[in-house]
Order: sequence, then C-alpha cells, then structure tokens
Amino acid sequence: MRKGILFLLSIICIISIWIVQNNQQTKQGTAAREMTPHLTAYVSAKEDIGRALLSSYCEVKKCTYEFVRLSTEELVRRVTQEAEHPRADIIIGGTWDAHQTLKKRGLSTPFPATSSQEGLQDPDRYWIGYEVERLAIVVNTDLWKERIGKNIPYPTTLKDLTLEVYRDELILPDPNHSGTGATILQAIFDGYGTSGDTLLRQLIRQTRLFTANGFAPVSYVASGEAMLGVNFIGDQQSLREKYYPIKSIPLDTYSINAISKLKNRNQQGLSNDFMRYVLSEDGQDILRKVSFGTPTYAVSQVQPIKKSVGQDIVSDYQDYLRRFNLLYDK
Amino acid sequence: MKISTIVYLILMGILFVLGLLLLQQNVFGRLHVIKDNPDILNQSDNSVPTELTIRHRAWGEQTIEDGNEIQRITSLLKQMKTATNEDCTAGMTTFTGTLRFLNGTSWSFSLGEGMILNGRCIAAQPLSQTTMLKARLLNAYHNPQQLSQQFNQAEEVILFDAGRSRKIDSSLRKALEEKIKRAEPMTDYEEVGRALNSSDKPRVLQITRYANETGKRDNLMNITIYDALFSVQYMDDDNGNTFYLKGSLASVWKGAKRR
Repeated sequence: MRKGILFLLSIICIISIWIVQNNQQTKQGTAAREMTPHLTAYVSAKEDIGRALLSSYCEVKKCTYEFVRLSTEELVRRVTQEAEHPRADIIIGGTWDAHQTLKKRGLSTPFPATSSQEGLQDPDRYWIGYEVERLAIVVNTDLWKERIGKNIPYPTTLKDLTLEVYRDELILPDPNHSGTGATILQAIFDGYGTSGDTLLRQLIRQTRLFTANGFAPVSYVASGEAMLGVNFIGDQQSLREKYYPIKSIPLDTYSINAISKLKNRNQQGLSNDFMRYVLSEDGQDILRKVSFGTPTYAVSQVQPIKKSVGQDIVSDYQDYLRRFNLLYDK
Repeated sequence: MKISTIVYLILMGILFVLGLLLLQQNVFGRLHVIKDNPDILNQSDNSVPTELTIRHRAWGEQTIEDGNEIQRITSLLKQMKTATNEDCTAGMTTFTGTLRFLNGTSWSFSLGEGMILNGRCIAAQPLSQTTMLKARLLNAYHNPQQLSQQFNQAEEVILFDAGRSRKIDSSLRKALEEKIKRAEPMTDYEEVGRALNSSDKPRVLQITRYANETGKRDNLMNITIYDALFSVQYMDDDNGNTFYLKGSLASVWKGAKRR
C-alpha cells in the first residue's frame, strides 16, 4: 500500500516539474517576442500613407508593424465587431466623425495631453487630427467642352449638380462605406437645412455610380469615364499633378483626418509615441510628400470644423445615413 | 477476494453487456442518413488553396505564388461567398481569376464594378470588400518584370515634361523599358521621402494599354519619374495607391536638354 502511494507521489512530482519547466520556456519565448515592440494598425488613409508613416516610425524605434487598409465605414464596423478582443492598436486616417463614433461606442481611449492641436482634436483627446481636407467638385475639362460647351461656367455648389443635363455624369462615394461620402451627406444636410432631403434625392437621381472608396470618383473623372464627381480636393490634386484634364471647384466643407488608439490593447505607450511622431516635424514632412491633405499645424482658420468638434455629430450622422438609404432605395 | 467485490464485478459486467446490446440495436445494422450535402458542396472551404491565377483586362495574366497572400485573398473570397444573391448588370469585367484548391476543386470569379463568384452575383455595385480585393489583386502586378512587360505592350505612352506633352519615340521607350526591368521595389520611406525632395517638377508618363479605348480607367497607368526612383499608379485602383521603385529612369535624359 505504502509503495503504491510513493509511486503515485513520484509520478505527480515528475508531471509537476514538467509543467513548470514548460511554462518557463513559454514565458521566455513570450518575453523574447515582447522585446521587439509591434504595432498593429487599421488604415483608412491611402495604403502608401499608412505604410510611409509606420515604416518611417518603426525604422527609428526599431519596432515591427502590420496594417490592414479598410474604408472608413468598414473600419468602424470591424472595430465594433472586435470590441471584446480588439486586434489593432491604432487607427490611422478616416474622417473625424468615424473616430467620434469609436469614442462614443467606448472603443477608443484618450491620448495623453502632450499634443497642441487646439481646435483640431477631440476635446477629451480620444482622437487627434493630423490633416485637414476640403470637399470639391471635380470636372473633366475635356468632356465638359465636348458635352456642355466651352463657355458654360462650371457648377460651383452641390445644388448646381442637380441640373438635368448632368444626369448619369456624376460619380459620388457611397456614405455606407466611405468617410468622404459621409462628409458629403453632412454638407448636404448641414448646408441646405430643410431642403436637404430634396437635394439629396436629386443628387441620387443624377449619380451614375456610388463608389465604396472616397478616392475613386476622381479616378473616374480624370480618366474620362465620367464628367463630374465630388471628393476631397487632395485626391484631385494628386491626379491633376499627373496632367489629367481636371479642374477642382472647392466647396465650403472641411473634414479632419485623425488618429485614435483602441482600448484593451497592450501597446498603449507605443501608440502614444507613434501619435507624437505623426504630429512631429518628421511625420508631417512625410505626410506632406505622400498625402495631399493640409497638415493640421498649417491650418490657421477652419472655423466650420472648429465649431463642430466636440459636438454630438454621431447621432445626426446616423439619421443622415438612414435618410440616404431610404431615398436611395426609392 | 471478498464476496462484495465479486458481486460488484458481476454487476459491472452485466451493465457492460446491456450497453453493448443497446448499441447494437440502435446503431449497427441500421441505415443512417448523414446530412452533409452543404459540407460536400462547400468542400473546397476546408481545403488548402494552392494557386491563384488572375487576368487583368489590360495588364495581362499573373499567377500569385505567395502562400500568405493566397490565404488572405481566399479568406476575403470566403467572406464574400456568403453574400446574398444580387442582380449584376452586364458591365465590363476588369479582373477574372481562378483559385485552385489542393483537393482538385476550384473557384472562379470576375470583378468589375460588381462581382460574380462561382457564377453567382455577389455584388451589384462596388463594396468595401470588392475594392479591397481589387487592390490586393493589383498588388500582384507591382513588380518590375510585370511592369516592363506592360510598358512594352502599351499602345501609347505620352511623356509630360515641363508642362508639355508628346508621344515618346521607340528608342526612348526601349531605354525606359530596360531601366524599369532593372528597378527594385522600395519599402524604405525615409529614402522615398529624401528622393521626393527634388525641386524639379517630375516628368510623368501616361501609359495607355489600348489606344482606341479612351475614357477607361483600367486602361491607364501613370509613372512619375524622380531622380533616383519612380512611382507607379494604376488608375483603376480605387484606393489611389502608389508604389515606389528604385531606379533612375531620369538618367535616360542625362546629357540631353530638358524638353
């Protein structure tokens, strides 16, 4: 009997030693992996902007990185789905209303009070703006001459785009997927008040295609596949510099592209440091070269945005989107 | 051995035999129908994707060999496969592709503004996923060999230099093609940043695959030439992505006066 108990005890001892040993090896492996900091990002800006910022930052900080490019609305959907187990540390790009949604849903966490973006950040620092973009109508000037006439003035407002002669000539981003599309909805409802629904209905009728991405309308217009589009002026500028026959007509609607940091991730320090880098002279220098937005430090007067930052625009936006889908389905 | 132990063993034996009899009556010798038809129909879902061949309407065929990239594209297609049936209008197809699996099955898709997967319309208009897929497929073309081949096959190449434009002659075209072939992809954006600092307005090449097809995005590509590198942008990349290659295309003009 005693021999049996001794035998049993020695088996238990051997198993315990093996478990402890195995656990130590795992810890050592984990520690080795943790020595190289790793940043995971969801990028809603252009892919090369995300890659440029992350690679230049990690080059200096000796970290590794990975990112996935998503449209703004897709990004919000994914982060919301992953709320329990977030997979990304940081969100780069996307219009500020999307970052405001993340804040409202309790998915992001504030940055420390070290930045001085004044009006161009969330008052509670849940997101920080790094560049400002302005909406504009884009016109293919060759097609305009051919189809409308050389001496006819270009449309200057969203209302101007509702003329019957432009039917099926217009490409717009879909607000269900694109932050640029969301900004256009805001321009319609905030700018036209009670007649916003009528204007939107007319614009939907005029539009040949709603794209999933904010950049796409200008590529349709520049290539001559469509005559008119609306998106951010920086995207239009990037193709104008490649000698495509396009003209931008700026509208009085601005948006901020922002960065935010997700909750329940263990790279909070690295994420804070990355945000500081993006706003630093080096980061803004890189942005100036690969992006066509206006860096926030260079923005002195953007009253329309500064006024609305901090307000509860998310519920307004959900209502705008519901009204868009209702009119689109009709 | 105690009597109680013997009784216990006998009881356990009886229970065991009864269990066997029960199993025999309920399971063996009876016909069981296993409802696995959805599994059989989707058997490629559980198989390993091995090869992805894609064909861009303008830029030709390409086989994706990177296992990780095939896996990412397969995951995307699997997500899209569950989408409800839509009604695709007959539009132009930019990409067609075939994904082969280890068990011999394959999926086919065509992607334009909408998308058809295995003969079923899963997107009637651009969606986030179709945009993402298109960008991933275009990534496969981001290599110097492929680019030099596309440059060679393009029916029209227009050079924009200091605001003026002209078609380039065959000798200049040959020289540029050779430089493109020897270029190297760049991922170091510090270097890209330094190279983009040049004060001169860069030369731009607008490349048209089919000269008789004007006004088609998927027929156009831009190359912007800086001193030590150049950038490439496919016009039908909905994200507007640019990729950078190290190689001095600008050197073909060295010694010649800027026109």
